[in-house]
Amino acid sequence: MKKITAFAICLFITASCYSHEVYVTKSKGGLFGYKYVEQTSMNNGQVFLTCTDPGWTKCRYSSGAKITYKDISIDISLETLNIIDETVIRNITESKLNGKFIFDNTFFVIYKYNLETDKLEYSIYLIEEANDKGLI
Amino acid sequence: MRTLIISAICLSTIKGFAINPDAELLSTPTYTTITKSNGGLFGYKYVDATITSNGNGGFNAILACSDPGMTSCKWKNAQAFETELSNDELNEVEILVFEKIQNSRDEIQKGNFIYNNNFLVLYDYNLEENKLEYKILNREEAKEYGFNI
Repeated sequence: MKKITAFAICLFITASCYSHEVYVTKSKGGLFGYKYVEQTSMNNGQVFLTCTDPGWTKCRYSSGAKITYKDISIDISLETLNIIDETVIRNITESKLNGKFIFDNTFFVIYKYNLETDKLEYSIYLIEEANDKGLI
Repeated sequence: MRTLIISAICLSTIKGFAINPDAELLSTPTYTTITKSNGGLFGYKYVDATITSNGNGGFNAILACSDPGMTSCKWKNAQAFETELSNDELNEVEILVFEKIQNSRDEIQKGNFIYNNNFLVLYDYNLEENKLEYKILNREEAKEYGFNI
């Protein structure tokens, strides 16, 4: 439990530094899914989906999210989140282990998969934020 | 890779003794073992298939997959054929194994079932180790494990 708390704190600090809006990590899953699957929405609008360790639960979003940046606020539906997730997975399956793409002219997605540690991370920003951060 | 090539050569040499699509079963004990351990989100780093003659006209097959990588843990068609089961049948056995493990949800599971009235399937899953092993035995091999099908 201490490890999970420490991990959550690290995650929060890391996420705050980069201030991405939707941050997803999947690591060390099992043949049948994950032990820990948690979607957390922060007061500042950030959303985390964290899935770790072998278990029985699929790593899925439980709900949509609202992405806010400066004076822009956009709802991102559960369906859209799932489509983005599938796109990331498909890209990696096609051997593009790191990459970025724009989805629906609204969202900017940046992802990386570490084969050695079996850890997938990706972030979804509004295009405006990605532009301001020089990510595009 | 070398093992695979040697196995393939052995197979092609004695293939004529083993393959009989009309036979209900080969008369010699054969088994197929599949091991999947520590796989990753997108597949496995090591996928090794070994098929060896058991010396009596039958074949034993082992498919071992481990560590995170980008390769599916699957037999190739020809390999599946040599193990008495078609690729579709092997996939069906795996689906049944997965269903049984998922329905139970115990962290450590050992079990068995009869497939297609002809094969005994033994499975062993450890959630924490993320390791699954299952064996498919024909009737003769099953007898050696104390099972009469």
